[in-house]
Amino acid sequence: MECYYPARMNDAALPASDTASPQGQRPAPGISLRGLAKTFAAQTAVQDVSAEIAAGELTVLLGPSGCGKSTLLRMIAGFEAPTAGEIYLAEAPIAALPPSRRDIAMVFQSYALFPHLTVAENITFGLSVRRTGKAETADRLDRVARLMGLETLLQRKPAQLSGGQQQRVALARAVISERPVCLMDEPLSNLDAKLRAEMRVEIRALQRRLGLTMVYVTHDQVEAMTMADRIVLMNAGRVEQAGTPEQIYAEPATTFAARFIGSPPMNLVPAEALGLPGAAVAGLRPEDIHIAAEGVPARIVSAEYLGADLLVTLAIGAAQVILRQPARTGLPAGPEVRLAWVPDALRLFDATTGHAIGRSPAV
Amino acid sequence: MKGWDWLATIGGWLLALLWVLPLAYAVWTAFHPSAYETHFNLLAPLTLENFPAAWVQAPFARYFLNTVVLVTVILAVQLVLGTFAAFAFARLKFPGKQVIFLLVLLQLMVMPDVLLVENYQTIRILGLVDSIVGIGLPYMASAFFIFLLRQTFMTIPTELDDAARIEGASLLTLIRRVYVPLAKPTYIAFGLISVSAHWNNYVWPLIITNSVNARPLTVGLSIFSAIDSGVHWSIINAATLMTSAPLLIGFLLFQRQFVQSFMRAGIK
Ligand SMILES: Nc1ncnc2c1ncn2[C@@H]1O[C@H](COP(=O)(O)OP(=O)(O)OP(=O)(O)O)[C@@H](O)[C@H]1O
Ligand SMILES: [Mg+2]
Repeated sequence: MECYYPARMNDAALPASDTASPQGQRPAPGISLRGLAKTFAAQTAVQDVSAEIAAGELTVLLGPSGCGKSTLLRMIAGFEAPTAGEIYLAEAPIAALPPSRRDIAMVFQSYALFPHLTVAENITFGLSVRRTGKAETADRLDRVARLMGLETLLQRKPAQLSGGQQQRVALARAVISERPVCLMDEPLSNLDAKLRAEMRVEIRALQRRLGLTMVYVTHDQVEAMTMADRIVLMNAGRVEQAGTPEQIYAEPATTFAARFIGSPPMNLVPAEALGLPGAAVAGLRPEDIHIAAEGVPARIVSAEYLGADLLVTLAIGAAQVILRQPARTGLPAGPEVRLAWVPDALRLFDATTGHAIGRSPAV
Repeated sequence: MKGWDWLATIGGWLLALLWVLPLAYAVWTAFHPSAYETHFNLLAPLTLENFPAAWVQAPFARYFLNTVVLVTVILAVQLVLGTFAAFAFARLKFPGKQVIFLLVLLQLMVMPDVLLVENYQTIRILGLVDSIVGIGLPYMASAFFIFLLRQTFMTIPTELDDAARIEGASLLTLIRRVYVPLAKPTYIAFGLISVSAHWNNYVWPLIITNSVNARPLTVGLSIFSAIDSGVHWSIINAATLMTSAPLLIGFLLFQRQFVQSFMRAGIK
């Protein structure tokens, strides 16, 4: 048990390569989902989901509310039995195993702390259920409490903690199990914006430090973009696109992906509005369009000042686009302007299926 | 409106007086010599003589023991059965769950007195007449408790189940370490109801017992105070106070906790 924890998890974000993690003896496995489906009595929550969750990486399941993220996560955890398909953990099928035998830890959306137990008892609940020795339990509790900055709170009840502290206890409970895979279902949705931003960094640092394979569910694309090694974007129970944040941002595979990622999202207008041939849908990120001397005529509708940037809404015929430019560039006097864009940045989508045309979708 | 308030206050006091009068009379006679039974005199001499006198005139020690065993056994079995049943109805999926739960609820609607004869026959077939188990058996699966506890269990978030399950907790561990501690107010509130109900239960024990070996306090006391035994009111009332004292004292001591439990369990 040679383990090294710095005093606080957020004072040194070590690169993933040289972590001396408690999972050191057990390298984190990857998870592979093959043709997973889940049908409830009334409806299909997940259909034909195949995805690779790489070992030691943070994979974000992203998608709008009701798209089946939680259901998928609960199938990986073992709380729901898949209607079809198989889940492999390090190449071994696990869909038939009960949750406790899968070697997977989970952090729940509302933290699921036991209200009648102290912080210390909450963190060590699993160890005591599995009859871990007293000395070892105390030892591990001590290390995890220091790692998470919970040393002074151990004797409190969950009701006496702030939301952020409760979140830390929930994380500590997952970390102390020393299981190499950790699932999280919208763990930050009950926190305010500032705390959420802090916890994002902490969770990411923790995942790197311990070399965990983490599956993180969220419907917040900013959270996904900032934290993920890979994003699995879901829509209506299916995988819409999987890839690194950069891939999905630069090469959205579908109009859904184009609209879901980015704020403001990619502009989608009929190709002919931009003077392009064909019946396709043209996609341009706001930062790739600019006001120029020559180009497509447009009319300024409104402008939104964001400090560094200016978001300008323009009408091109019946279509509207938003462009982002440095605020200090300023706007021309009249409402009538001309638009140009970085040619490389133009994306085309099939008008009926919504699939990207021409480029191979990054998967 | 003012006049009505005033009337209500008077009415309340009158009712309270009416309610406390028998108890006050019992206390008066129990602590005075029998000569003062119907003769109220503030200067009458106080005495504790009546209590030992009552104690030796009937096997009260045995009755006490019977009642304590009876109340404890009933409560223990009720709690265990109720816990499992309530958990099953609240959290498990099994065929016929709705129908079985309806049958349990049906028990709530049947007045216990209606079943006296039927219960007697059942207990006789089981050969348990005149035994403590025989007195307690009809009450051991309490529909009220199962219903109450199921309601409490259903308010516990299922995320806690999942959190415990992923850590490797079995169903039994889950119940023991999560559900029972979280439902503590319900257990305390029901415990109080059960103990006081069975400490005071009279008709059924009277029917099913016929010897000192099984007779609880209530029945023992009524036999002791039957008219033809010719004992004095002061001694009967001393015995009455003696037999209800443990319950009264217990309630006074834990009054605060009980009231809190009732509030949290949602019983009023
Ligand atoms: N136990 C269940 N029984 C029936 N339908 C369910 C059950 N769980 C989920 N569903 C349905 O499956 C679909 C997917 O639900 P799921 O909870 O996975 O969505 P989600 O992506 O996690 O959404 P959110 O972001 O709102 O949490 C929803 O339409 C939901 O109503
Ligand atoms: Mg969800």
